[in-house]
Amino acid sequence: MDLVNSVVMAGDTLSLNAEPRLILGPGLRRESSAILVSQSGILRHAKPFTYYVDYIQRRYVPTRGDLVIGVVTSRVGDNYRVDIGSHDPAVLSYLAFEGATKKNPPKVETGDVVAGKLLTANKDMESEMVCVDSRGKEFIMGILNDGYLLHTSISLCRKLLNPKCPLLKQLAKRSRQKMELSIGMNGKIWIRCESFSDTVRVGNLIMSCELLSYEEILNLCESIQ
Amino acid sequence: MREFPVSNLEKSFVLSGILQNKRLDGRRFHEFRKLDINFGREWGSCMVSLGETKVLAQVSCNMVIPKATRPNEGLLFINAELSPMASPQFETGRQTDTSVMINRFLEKCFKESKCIDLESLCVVAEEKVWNVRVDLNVLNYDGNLLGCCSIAALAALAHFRHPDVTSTGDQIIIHSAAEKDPIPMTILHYPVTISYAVFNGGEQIILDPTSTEEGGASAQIILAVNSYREICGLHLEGAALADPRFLLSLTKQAAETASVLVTKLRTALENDAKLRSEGSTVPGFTECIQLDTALALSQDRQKLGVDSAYANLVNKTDRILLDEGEKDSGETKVKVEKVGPGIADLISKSDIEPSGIKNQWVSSSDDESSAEDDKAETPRVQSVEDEGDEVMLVDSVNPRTKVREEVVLSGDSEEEDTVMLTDLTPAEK
Repeated sequence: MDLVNSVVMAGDTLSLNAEPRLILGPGLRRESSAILVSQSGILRHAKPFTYYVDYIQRRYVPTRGDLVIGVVTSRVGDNYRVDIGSHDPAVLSYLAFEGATKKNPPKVETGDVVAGKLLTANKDMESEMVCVDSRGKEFIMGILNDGYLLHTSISLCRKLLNPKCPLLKQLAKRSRQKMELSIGMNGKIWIRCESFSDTVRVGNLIMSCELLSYEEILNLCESIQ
Repeated sequence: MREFPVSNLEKSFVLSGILQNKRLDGRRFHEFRKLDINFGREWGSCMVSLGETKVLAQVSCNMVIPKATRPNEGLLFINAELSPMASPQFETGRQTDTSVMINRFLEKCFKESKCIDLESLCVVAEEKVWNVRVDLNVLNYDGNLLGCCSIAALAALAHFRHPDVTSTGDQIIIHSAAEKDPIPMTILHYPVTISYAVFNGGEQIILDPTSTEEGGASAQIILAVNSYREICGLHLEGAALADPRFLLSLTKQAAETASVLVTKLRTALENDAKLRSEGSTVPGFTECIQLDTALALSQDRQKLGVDSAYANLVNKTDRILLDEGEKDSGETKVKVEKVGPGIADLISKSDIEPSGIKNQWVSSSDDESSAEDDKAETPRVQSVEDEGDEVMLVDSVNPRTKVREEVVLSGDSEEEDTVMLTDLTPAEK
């Protein structure tokens, strides 16, 4: 495919029919037999069969299985509504927390920040969020306390989570203090450091990496400490 | 409007920073964000950005029949549009509380303070007047929307020119710009909106809050002040207990800020007028697009401030500093100048050198000494002899400082009655 690593625009048709199998990632869509580009960006190929578009966007489109961070906006019956930056808020059942039962409900208030996985993501329905894994454990999910929530772009979150990205490794290696970080695929990053100014610094470092290449990030990390 | 999704942890984080005298974006409490005013090629179009808050304003006019109650006054209509483009919390279509608030506040501010001479918009009394409409489009939202909107509306109105008309008895001819030069609006004074966010029950007050700070604040105080230190509007949002004198000191600070902003607006207008009079092509909005960057319209994507070690990460923008004149805080020197026969103009010192007033509400340890200084000073009444004219001055500003702990004043204080505010803890009693 010669279009890989070049710019594609929304509405372009791709002819990937030569491939034996195809997995379409974000930014690509199948309309009957044609493959349409639905986001403008750079077409990428991940071996062996995955194609996706690398695009800069701040509005989140829910995808099943994504780890997201959201803000609880209200409680409706047995469910919480969680704003995850998508067109509709996600639904989070109060039973979807570790150890939660009807008699022992979790202590979640409006305005709390929760990290969870998307169980269902549908373009016509509200997505459903859970804060436990299949074994009923919270693992890295659940209610987040203290710290600060960064609202960034989805591409930055993808970039940070890419194993090639040096930022998190450098942060782990160089920081002298305890630090907690949680990255949601919906462009929200939660940071908690020991002090206010440290949190601001780390947040600032992360935000400044948005448009830098991996080498530049590495140089930046080296120039700091 | 959907509820603004500011989470509890953001609120408490902002508050914890405020308690340490720090703001998220590294500004000081009385620092404004960078204000950019760009004029378009058309008369009456301008884009104002205040940090990441961006508002596009366009003024238009048409001929209408005046209201029966005010037959010789033109009409002014202000409409603010909040689209989801600005922030996902805004919805299209129907009017929301925020947009109604903005419209009403700005209309009150501009109409009731009579800053626009509506009578000059009258063509034929009871028959034809100009109806001036200001459309404000919010392009991006990051707090202090009202402040940005008011500057945009004012800049657009000051920039706007309506077509010239001639009356031939029973007919009115509206001339195009090619036939006769369009006429600028008559603006009598420039009111700008200054907004403050109140934290911790009035203990901490910050100027020009961002959206996160607005979300975390317990109350907001929005003041419209013109360059003559007159209040043209006041809006309170939320609830906070505060000292009654606090509002007074705030208005004083707002007046300082307003004069800086108005000066900035005037310079922008003058620059534009100069470019146009030279006959060179006006760059318009293309000027505000920065080339060679992915964030073409963004001033400063860095929303979080930094200190020392990370300072190299931030391109320091020339934010408006209101904090420089800390030495003469608490006292405002006002000069009366004769402008013409029978007219005098109050010119505060800050017009010349922007000096701000330090936050008197924060009593940190190093504030104490300066607070004492303030106390020891006497309010000075300055009178300016104007070539023997009987213009008298008038403004004596008494510095009111909140001194939290006991301040021992030396006996030679010239102040007549000294009010001492002591808050002793029960243990001390």
